[in-house]
Amino acid sequence: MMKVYKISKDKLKAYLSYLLNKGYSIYGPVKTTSGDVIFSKIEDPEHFVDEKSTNGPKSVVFPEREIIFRYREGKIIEEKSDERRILFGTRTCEIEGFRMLDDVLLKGKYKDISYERKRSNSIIVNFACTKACKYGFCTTFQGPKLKNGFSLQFIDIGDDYLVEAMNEELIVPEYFTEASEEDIKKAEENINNVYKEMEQLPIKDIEKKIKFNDEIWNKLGNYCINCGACNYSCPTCFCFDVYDVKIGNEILRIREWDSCLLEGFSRLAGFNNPRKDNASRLIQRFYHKLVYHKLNYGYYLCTGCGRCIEQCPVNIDIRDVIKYFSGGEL
Amino acid sequence: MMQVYTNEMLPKTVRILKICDETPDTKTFILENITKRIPKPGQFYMISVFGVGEFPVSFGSANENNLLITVKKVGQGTGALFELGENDIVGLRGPYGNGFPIEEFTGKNIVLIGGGIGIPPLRSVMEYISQHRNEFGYVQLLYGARSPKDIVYKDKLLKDWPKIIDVKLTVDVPDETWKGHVGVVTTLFDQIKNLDSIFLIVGPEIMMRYSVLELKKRGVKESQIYLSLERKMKCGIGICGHCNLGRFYVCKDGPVFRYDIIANERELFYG
Amino acid sequence: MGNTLNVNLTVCPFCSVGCSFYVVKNDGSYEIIPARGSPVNEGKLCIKGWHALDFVLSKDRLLKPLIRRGNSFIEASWNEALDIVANKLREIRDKYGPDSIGFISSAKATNEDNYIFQKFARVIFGTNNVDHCARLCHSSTVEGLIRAFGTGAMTFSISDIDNADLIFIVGSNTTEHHPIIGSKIINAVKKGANLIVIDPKLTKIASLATIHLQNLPGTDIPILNAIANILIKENYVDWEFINHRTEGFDEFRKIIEKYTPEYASKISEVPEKQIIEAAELYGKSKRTIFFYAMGVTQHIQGTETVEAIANLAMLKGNVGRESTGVGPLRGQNNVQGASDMGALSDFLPGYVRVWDSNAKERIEKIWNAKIPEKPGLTVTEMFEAALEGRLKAMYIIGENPVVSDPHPELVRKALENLEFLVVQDLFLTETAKYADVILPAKSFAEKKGTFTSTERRIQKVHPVVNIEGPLEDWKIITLLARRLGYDWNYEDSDDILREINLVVPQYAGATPERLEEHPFGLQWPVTRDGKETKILHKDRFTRGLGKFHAVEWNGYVETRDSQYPFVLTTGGIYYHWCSGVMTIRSHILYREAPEAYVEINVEDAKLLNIKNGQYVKVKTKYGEVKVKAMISEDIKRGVLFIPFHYSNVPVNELIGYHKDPISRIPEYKVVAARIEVI
Repeated sequence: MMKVYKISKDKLKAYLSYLLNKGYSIYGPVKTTSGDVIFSKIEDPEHFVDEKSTNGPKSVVFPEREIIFRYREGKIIEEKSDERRILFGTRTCEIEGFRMLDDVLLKGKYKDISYERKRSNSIIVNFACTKACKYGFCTTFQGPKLKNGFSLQFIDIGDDYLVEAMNEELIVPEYFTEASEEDIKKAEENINNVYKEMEQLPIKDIEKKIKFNDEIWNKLGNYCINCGACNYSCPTCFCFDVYDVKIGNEILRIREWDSCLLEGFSRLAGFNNPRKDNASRLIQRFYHKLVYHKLNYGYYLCTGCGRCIEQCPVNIDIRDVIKYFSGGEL
Repeated sequence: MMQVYTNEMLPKTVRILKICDETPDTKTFILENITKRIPKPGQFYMISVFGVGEFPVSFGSANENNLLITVKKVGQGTGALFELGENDIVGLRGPYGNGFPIEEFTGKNIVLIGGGIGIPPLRSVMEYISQHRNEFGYVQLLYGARSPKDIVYKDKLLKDWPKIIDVKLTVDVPDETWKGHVGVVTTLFDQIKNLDSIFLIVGPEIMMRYSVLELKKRGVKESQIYLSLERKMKCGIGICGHCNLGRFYVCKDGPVFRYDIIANERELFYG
Repeated sequence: MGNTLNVNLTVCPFCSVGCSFYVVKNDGSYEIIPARGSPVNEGKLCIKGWHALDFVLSKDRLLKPLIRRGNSFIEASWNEALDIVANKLREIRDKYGPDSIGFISSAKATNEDNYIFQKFARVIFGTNNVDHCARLCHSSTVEGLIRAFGTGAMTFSISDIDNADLIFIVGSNTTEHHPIIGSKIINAVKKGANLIVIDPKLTKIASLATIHLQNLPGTDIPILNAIANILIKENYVDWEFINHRTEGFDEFRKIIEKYTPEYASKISEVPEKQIIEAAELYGKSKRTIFFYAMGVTQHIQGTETVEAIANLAMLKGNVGRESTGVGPLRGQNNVQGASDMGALSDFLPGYVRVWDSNAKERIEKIWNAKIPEKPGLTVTEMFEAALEGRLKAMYIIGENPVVSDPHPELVRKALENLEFLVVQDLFLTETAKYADVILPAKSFAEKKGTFTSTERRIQKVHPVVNIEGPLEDWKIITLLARRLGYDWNYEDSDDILREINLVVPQYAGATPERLEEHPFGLQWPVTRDGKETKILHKDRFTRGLGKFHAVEWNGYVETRDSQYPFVLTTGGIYYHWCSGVMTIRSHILYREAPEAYVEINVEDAKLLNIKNGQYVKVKTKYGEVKVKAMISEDIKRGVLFIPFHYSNVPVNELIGYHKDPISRIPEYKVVAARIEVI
């Protein structure tokens, strides 16, 4: 059963110190000297900020690049290094992404063992958003607050955070007190503010409205510079490439994030390619998010984090695509 | 009971037992079948040449001890495999994919249509048919190669299979030794005996496109046609995304598709 | 800094745009995070940026010094290797004189590295034989813009693109080579800005242009002059600007009279009508930004083409105002900085001419040394001198001339001819294979220092990856200097930057401390009190008045004939960088573009019966390569294009021996060629 506590904002850094001293590895959003917020290992609690980071936590459980195994003298040696850690200060759009990754990577016929190891070793301390962010559109999907899938969830209620606890593992009486009905109401209000501030997109039945044969794909394709940012920044993208690297008499098999906006992604030997131009590649990306995954899993493969919009050098905007196919202008 | 999962991305190391040349650019490799599993006709394996990489390969024939695969040299991976010799080690995992639903074809007439290096999956079907010959009706195999020297599995096509089924061959470019039919594989379609057959087509996408077109012209229903597709594959287990065809993962939901199911996919029959 | 995470910020090592990103490490895997706060990339990166650590983490990195033993190399300690280098260089200098050694610096190294290296050459060895690859890419910019404006650098800032109403691009495949600038141009066009592109290829940016002038390579001057001609005739010019801020107009006017649209069209094969339309579009524009790149600079008339662009900008007062100006898109991430630091055979730090004894005195005082007045050998001249036996030793940092310089076969012979060759690099490059001693250097990601981008932005980088073994370039040079009897006591790159603050006036206020306070950099000139400069030449050109140059098109150096009916031009592609050393070591980048090709127009291919993907031979008077054909509708008829990244298709063996007489840049972009089916 979920329990509800609260913690004073003054005590947050002390609580983080406590967790660090307990020996936990902690990853979370930290402020850099240059002013940006990045999701990184937290060495000093002072660095922590309650803000959405540029990158998010995906790479902690699904690294940009990892060794699947080593091959030496005819033997295959599996890579198994991992640590127990807390992801502290994640956002709902990010952890909702984990849930979607779980469906693909863990719940099919085959499990992705490496992901499972990292995922099951990660304790989630989520921070629900109480303010709309510039590019986000989470209220079109799950909204700013998680219903489950966390250990603790923090919600800003002014001087304190309301803390929802799915389990007691990280609850320490020294820092947490009981929450009142009023605190709970305040939290609800703050969450509702996001719904008021944020535009909700006409997502309903988009899978039936979107079309292959439309000028929009060529138009966006003419702009796309194949940087891969929409994939690399996405909390729900999971496509990867696999390749070997030879070091002396050892061979490493590596898996690395891939991007469906790259020509080589679908290219077969002999330079045959079923997906030759940018328009086709954009269709694949948007259809995967808005159509194919819905058909296969019953929900859209998007959590409305807005990173693909923010990081696209030529401002290709999934919100515009959704609105366009729902009868809007581009 | 809790199911114990193993890391599916780890191959088993297996020995190459025998290598024989099929054509100037195609070789057959006989590998140890370490797992003893007998794959279903039309399934595939991921094969590793360590240090170069991993790629999908269909099997042509299998028993408890051996797996037979046939590979055309087209890229880096296949090129590296060609460099290996007997007793060398490769990595293998699988079998993956759905394979042909061959049990469902019981009692039916079957037409196998193959082009070029698309023949191994059809050979795996032929192995099944030859072991269960009386469970099927009239069986035809139509096979087209670029030239006589590009015909794969000559012994099977010319000697073994004609004993049990009707085999028809054609080449695009004949040489002086060739006395048979000349033309692309669809030029053999007038010799199809039963249009109520199940049609299994494996070959280059362009050949499959025209085969489907010709069959439909003759009144064959889309649901009578099965295709085995080839796409870039990196995991083989329905995750990495390279083989996506619309909502399908060719590695997991295919590689065999009943044509009516994928007929509207825009990336089908590319090229 | 109490409450922020420091020092994991760095700058992309590929092109000169200067995008910033952070690096974090999770369980052994490094993640690149684009810096939102950077006014340059604003949280975005191109595909090379996202893969900027791949080569850093490559298994091929050199970790220990290597010493030649016969035909192979053996590992050595730093002490051993440095002793050999110091002793051998001293011996050669003492035996053959100071000018017997050539130093090639690196536009991939930091300002501090470059500064120290040129000082090493000039102070310790007493030679101006120090140069770097700017000679091969933008020496014509340095010359051309200094002559026209007084400063050889981009006159405006990248952020000015936003509000320009016309962007005028000459010879730049912007989305492939400077993708983030390219993306900003795309965004400006989406907002309504006009775009003119002069390029023999229908590049992505050209496909988005209002007007694309698809000319023959090497015919920019007649088009630019014709546009100027129309502007004056139609009275589109800014007379006030011309009268008060410039000189040389009358002479210029006289020369360009003969450049009618008809004349320009005949030379360039661009329809007359398009030239007139482009002139009108420019004539009506209020704020125009010019961009150009190696399509302009790497020509026998490179300097003059730069001057022709400057002329066009000045005609309408498009210099020194917001959202106007002339923007050379430099190649390497620090080619601007390496030039600023005087890693050029004719310039001391801060663009002081080596023969300008008055200006030089100030630097000589700080260095406590006399600097020779004779300009040194340029990169290409060094190899010529080595071939002739005049140059006895070379010290090459982070360059791969065996692939990137003209005529690799001669470069190889030149290197073999040397008594002693030191190569300082990350990898055992094609060039390093000729070395006597190879010193393993740190990459951008492992060191502190500063880079200067194409918009003159000086940015500090921090170590974000740790690799044991290699040393910073400046550190290696400092250790050598001490062995040669100089008590150089730089302990940190900041110590060197402080000296740069003294020596280079443009960098006076870019102190280590200030650059920490401004993590996304300051644009030079930075005054002593820390004021940066977004736009150059605001009220006054650096040289006083802007100067019109009466430039003429001199005709083709190589005329196409029945034997060689094509113009072959060379260039780079999106996924690769220079000689490929860095990008072939990235799995994804290499996968995207694994092999070289020759691009040929579909009609030309039809006539010659060439099929897509088929191997062909491309021949010029100077050499031949075997390469796959790529049939394309994007390239102009009669033109062939081969990318220069692939060492197995050494396209630089095909180019001629011609050089721009002013900047001494080789003609890479025009050579008569033929194509043969194999």
